[in-house]
Amino acid sequence: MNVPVEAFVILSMVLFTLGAMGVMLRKNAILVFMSVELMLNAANLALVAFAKQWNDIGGHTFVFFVMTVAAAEVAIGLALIVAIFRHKQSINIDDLHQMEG
Amino acid sequence: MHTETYPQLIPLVILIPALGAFINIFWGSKLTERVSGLIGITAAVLTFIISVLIFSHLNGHHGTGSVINPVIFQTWLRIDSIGLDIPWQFRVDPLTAVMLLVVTGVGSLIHIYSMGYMHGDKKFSRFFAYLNLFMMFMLLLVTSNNFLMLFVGWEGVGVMSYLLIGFNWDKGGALGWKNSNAARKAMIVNRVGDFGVLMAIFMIFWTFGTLTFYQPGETANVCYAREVNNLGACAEESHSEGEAAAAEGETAAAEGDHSEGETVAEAEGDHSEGEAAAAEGETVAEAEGDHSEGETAEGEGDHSEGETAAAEGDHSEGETAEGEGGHGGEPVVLADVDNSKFASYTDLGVFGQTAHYMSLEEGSPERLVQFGTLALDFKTVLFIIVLFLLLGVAGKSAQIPLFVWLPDAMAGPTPVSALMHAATMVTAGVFLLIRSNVFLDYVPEARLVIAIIGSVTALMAGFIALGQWDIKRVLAFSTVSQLGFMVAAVGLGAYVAALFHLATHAVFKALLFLGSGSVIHGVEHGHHHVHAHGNGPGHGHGNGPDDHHDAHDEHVDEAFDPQDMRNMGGLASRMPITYWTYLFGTFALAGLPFFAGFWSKDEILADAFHEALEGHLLLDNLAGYIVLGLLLVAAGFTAFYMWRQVQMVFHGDPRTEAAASAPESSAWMTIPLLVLAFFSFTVGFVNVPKYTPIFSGFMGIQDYEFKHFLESAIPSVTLKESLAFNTPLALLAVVIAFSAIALSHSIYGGNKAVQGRRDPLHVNRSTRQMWSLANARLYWDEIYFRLIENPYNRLSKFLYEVVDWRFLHDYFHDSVLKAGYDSMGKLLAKPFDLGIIDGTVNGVGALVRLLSGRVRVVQTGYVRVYAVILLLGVVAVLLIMLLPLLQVQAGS
Amino acid sequence: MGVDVLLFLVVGALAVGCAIGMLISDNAVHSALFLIANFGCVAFMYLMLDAPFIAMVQIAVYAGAIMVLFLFVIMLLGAEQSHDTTTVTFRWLTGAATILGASLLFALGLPLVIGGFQLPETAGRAPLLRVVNAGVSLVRTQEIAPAEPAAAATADPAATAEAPAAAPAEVVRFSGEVQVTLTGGSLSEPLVLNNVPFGEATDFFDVPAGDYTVQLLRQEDGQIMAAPYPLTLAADSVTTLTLFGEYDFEARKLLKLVPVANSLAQVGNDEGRFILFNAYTPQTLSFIDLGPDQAINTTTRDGATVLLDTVIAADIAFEGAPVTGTYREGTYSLALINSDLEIIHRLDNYTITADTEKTLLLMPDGEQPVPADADPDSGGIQFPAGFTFRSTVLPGLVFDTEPSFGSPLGIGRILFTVYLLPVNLVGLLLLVALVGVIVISRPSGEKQERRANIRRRVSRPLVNVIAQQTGGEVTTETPKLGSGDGS
Repeated sequence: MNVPVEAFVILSMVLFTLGAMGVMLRKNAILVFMSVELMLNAANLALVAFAKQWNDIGGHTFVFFVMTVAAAEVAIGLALIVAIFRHKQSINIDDLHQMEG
Repeated sequence: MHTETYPQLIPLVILIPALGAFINIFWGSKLTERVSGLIGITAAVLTFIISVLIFSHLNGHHGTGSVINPVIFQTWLRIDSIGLDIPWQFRVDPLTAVMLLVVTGVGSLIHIYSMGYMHGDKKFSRFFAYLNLFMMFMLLLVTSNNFLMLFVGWEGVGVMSYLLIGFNWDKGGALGWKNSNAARKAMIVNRVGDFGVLMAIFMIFWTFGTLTFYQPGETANVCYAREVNNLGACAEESHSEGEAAAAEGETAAAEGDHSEGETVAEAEGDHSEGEAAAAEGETVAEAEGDHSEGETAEGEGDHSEGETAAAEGDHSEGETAEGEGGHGGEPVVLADVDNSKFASYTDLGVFGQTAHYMSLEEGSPERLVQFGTLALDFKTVLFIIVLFLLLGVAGKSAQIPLFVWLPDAMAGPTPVSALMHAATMVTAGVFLLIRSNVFLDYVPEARLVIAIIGSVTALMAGFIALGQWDIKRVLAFSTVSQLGFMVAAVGLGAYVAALFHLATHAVFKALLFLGSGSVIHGVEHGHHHVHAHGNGPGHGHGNGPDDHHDAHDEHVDEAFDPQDMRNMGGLASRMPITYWTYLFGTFALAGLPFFAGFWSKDEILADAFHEALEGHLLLDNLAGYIVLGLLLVAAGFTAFYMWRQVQMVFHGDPRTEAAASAPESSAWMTIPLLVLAFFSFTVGFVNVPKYTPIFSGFMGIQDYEFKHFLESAIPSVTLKESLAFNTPLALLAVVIAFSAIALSHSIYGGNKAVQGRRDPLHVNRSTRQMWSLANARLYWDEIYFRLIENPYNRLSKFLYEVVDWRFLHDYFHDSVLKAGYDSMGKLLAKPFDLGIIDGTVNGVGALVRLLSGRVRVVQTGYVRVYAVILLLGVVAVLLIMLLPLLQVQAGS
Repeated sequence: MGVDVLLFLVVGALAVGCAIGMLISDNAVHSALFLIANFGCVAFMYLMLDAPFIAMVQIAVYAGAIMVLFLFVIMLLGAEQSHDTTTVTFRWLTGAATILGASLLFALGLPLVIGGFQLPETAGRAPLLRVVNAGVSLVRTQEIAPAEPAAAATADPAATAEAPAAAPAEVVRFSGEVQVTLTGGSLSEPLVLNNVPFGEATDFFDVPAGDYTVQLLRQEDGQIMAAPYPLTLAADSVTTLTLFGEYDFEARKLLKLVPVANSLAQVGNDEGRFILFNAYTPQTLSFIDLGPDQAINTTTRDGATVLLDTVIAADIAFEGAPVTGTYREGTYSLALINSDLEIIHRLDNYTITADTEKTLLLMPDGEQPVPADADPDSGGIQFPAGFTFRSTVLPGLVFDTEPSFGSPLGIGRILFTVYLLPVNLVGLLLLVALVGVIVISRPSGEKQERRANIRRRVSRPLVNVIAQQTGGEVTTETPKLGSGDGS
């Protein structure tokens, strides 16, 4: 294969940064969540790329774990969003600042 | 009959009463009176059956004792570091068997009697639980194979005695106090005695390294075992002081030993030389008196022949044949019986070791016992041990000076008085002495002390009994007196006589107590009857038979005392069964001919007479004289006060309405009375002396059956000659008894028994002094009060008022400690607690508040801001991590 | 620029575009659809990175399950458009986020920039090396003799080789022990192998990867036998270094080294591999299976003789490149034959084991006279009759039987062996998440009660209705429910 592994790493960096921007900028809680998923995906991509580079299948294993954790996180997170929405009739995260010190 | 397995039943003797008590303790309140009573009775009767089985086994095996190791209790107490290993073992031998029969037999009857006597009592099941527990501990005491197990039983019966004396502690007012005080008195006085037993046990363990009586396989009486197994008598090698029991069992001693034995015999004036000579057919210069020699020769010949031939001996026909059948035909060799199979004498029990030590030369280093730096001769140690034991015996068996608790113990219910304080528990001390007979054999000095204490107690208690009004108190002092007889007999070395008297006394004294209980019960009932009528039906008492038990509770507040003989009289016609059985008991106790007491008391007197005239040692002679003299007088007292009691209770006219309307007791109570009355007459025939007129060979009665049965457990029996019936002495005793009765009858006969609630002896000016002395119980209690109780109380009061309150509380605590604490507390409170500790804590709090006030601004609560800050941190951390990389890059 | 690079660029651009689309889209549903597309692109990337299993899981779990869940929740809440209700607006946040994003990208990319866009290579497994002394040389002694510094007269074969220095045309062979020295690479001091005997191989040993120089000395006197010979050992390689004779008259080089690369790559199922190397005979050989008759079977077709037996490997040229042949496991009679169909060497009842590689070296058997006029440069030496060879089958190497990289089998195996505990923990985590979801989204008890009340309220009129419809005959037990009188 001619595509260097470095290219995949760069792609993953870009996606990660985009995800991070999403987390910071979007006010819709669901979108924030989706941005987090994007970040996780970028990390996964990097893991797979490094696994390829160093011929170590452990990277794939960790992708697997990350996916599992992401699934759990999504389940809980969405349940929380639903609960918050039921309570506040809004999923704008700027509405949720009861925890201010 | 195969009876080998019967001794294995012995743990059941403990377990069955324990089970009965267990049921009654935990479920007694839910059970009906009848069920819980039947449980108790069943447990007692079952143990009696087992006792009979064990007895039948021993009777068929020449009483060969065995040691039973129950499966569940292989080791009991074990401390390896000091070599303490006390197994839980039972000893089954004739001594145990006799005690088993006495305890379970009399115990069973008293259980049955209690069913009637305690009817209606609200603590009925508890009473039976206590009785069962008492049986358990008493049986543990008599079946134990070491001093510690014996002591467990000893203390156990003590506790049960305490609980049962104070059984009616909840009676209202003074009576309840009287009951519980009596229980406490018994407990405290017995502690003094128990101290002696404990000391003796400690010394025994120190001296012997073990507490076991006999190890498994050990033969207690080697000579007897040799005789019955056709291994030759050991009369030759066993002279002085009954060392026949010596566990050495040397067989080669036949030749050299003879001359040696002679010298010893001469030096010590040993009488048994004659016996040995007679058996050998030689004439020895030292033989004493043709009478005894001839008798001995004949007796010995007849005796040993019968044993050895096993064919036509006068008493051993059936037994020997049966015994040998039981052995399964295996030949018995000498090594089986003479304890030579034990590698070392230290493997033997305490008695075997005693014989070994005493066979050593006096002054040899082995005979010395080290107590720290103090080295005592073995015999001295033994003397001290026996004296300590005697202290315990004085407590348990109510001897001078510790007898004072027993009369008070009559506060307990009458069956308890009969079972524990007459028939069984109080004889534990005598049993302990008989069990330790090997010890006693070697210390005639101690025996003299025992004999004196016993006979003085007998006389003193008999005297006090003359002046008592309380029907049970008379019997209590009578018990003390009779126990004195037994102890005196032990002091003479007449263990069989002591045990014989113990057994017969158990029967007839139980009978007397139960009879008195029946009388009291009747009088109470009669009183209640009268009382109920007097108050009319409106009082709430019905006329029904069920009501009488309320009398136990209701009449305490009235002046009427149902136990006072002055309130009785003429009961013979009201209570005929009680009367006749009581009369049997009285005759037995008084020693009228052919009643049980006659045989047993007479044997003690005969032994005393024998020791006095023919004792080997001066000490024995002395003991014999003292015992004989005192006991003859005491026997006279016995007959006198018993007849006085019969007169007061049963004869004459009723002195109160209660007595006039007293009914006969129920069958539960009268049947045991009848059974006991029957045995009070017959039990004496088990140990008829030889050459007794009329009875020798009469109706299959064998002479000294009891003695032969016990022979395997008491070594000295084999060595002493069996006494012939001493006709002059017996006549003398009978004459004394009859004349005492006659005298008593002349004083108390008819309606003269009580004159205006005063005793005729008190009315009579010449005897008033003496009677008052007896009535006041020789001021024993007062003396104890002056000498011990009062000073003790004063000391307590001093310690309590002055030392504890004034010094410790008022001064030390309140002034010194409190002031110190106060000043220190003030010091700590102001500068230290408030300043440093509070300051620190508050300072930390204030600091946190100050800082957090600044920081909390950051916590806006907006998630996106947090995300930005988080990412800022991430970038920062990344850059910091990458800094070295940059430096490398710059460097290269 | 290959097609894969093109694909990468297109799909990568698509991925980034989708991500940006997700970010800037106002409609949450659109965002979700963009994200799904992005996940698909990433899955394609996984495929390019030899991770087919992960790619499939990505499609199924992420793009499928998780995103469907997202869409479901968005639809459920009707939250397609997020409406701003807050008064607070963080205007500074956009700028800060942009700066932070840029610096994050910078920080992430910094190592790559420093490394010159080159990821460090994996160290790999250290190369394995073994040395075989095939030890035959053709020596023209009078020419080598002056080069010897210490030509002591000894009685050994080497000495006898030197002694007749006067005989110019004589050729002897050396078949004694040699000493091999490796220098260079990352070795701090030379690696010396002493006493490598003739005809045998050393065990494999680890050598750091790198470039080496091999020096050969005669063991007995330390005479240099060959010019330093370069050898490159790469990571993960397995090499059999074969020393055998060739005479170079001009360079006066006595020995020749041929590194035979062993391979641990898997061959077909149940097959073993042979690596054959002709170290002596100047003929081209073939390696054949003699078949059950254990003899060469030929037939004549079109005037030419055709071999009927199975050929495992052909064209094994003298000093040529090692030839690889694979054959199914089993017990066979194998033979090396020359082009004239003569058996040079045979291996009877030889067992081939699956997943095993064997190196088969052909070399002369012991000391034998060589024709004096042999001229290696002529392209072939004529061996006299009776000149024997032997083939040495060196100890085999067992293949790496790991499943191929990135396959479900490979991932599954490692998950359930090395990572068994994490797998269990993750399973537990999922269970906790399940319970958590139930707890979080359960309606509160108060509401439940209210619902029950509603149901009861509904039921009351129902009773009334029934009562009315049935002519008022319905009586209820509880007066609370009313209408029992059927008015």
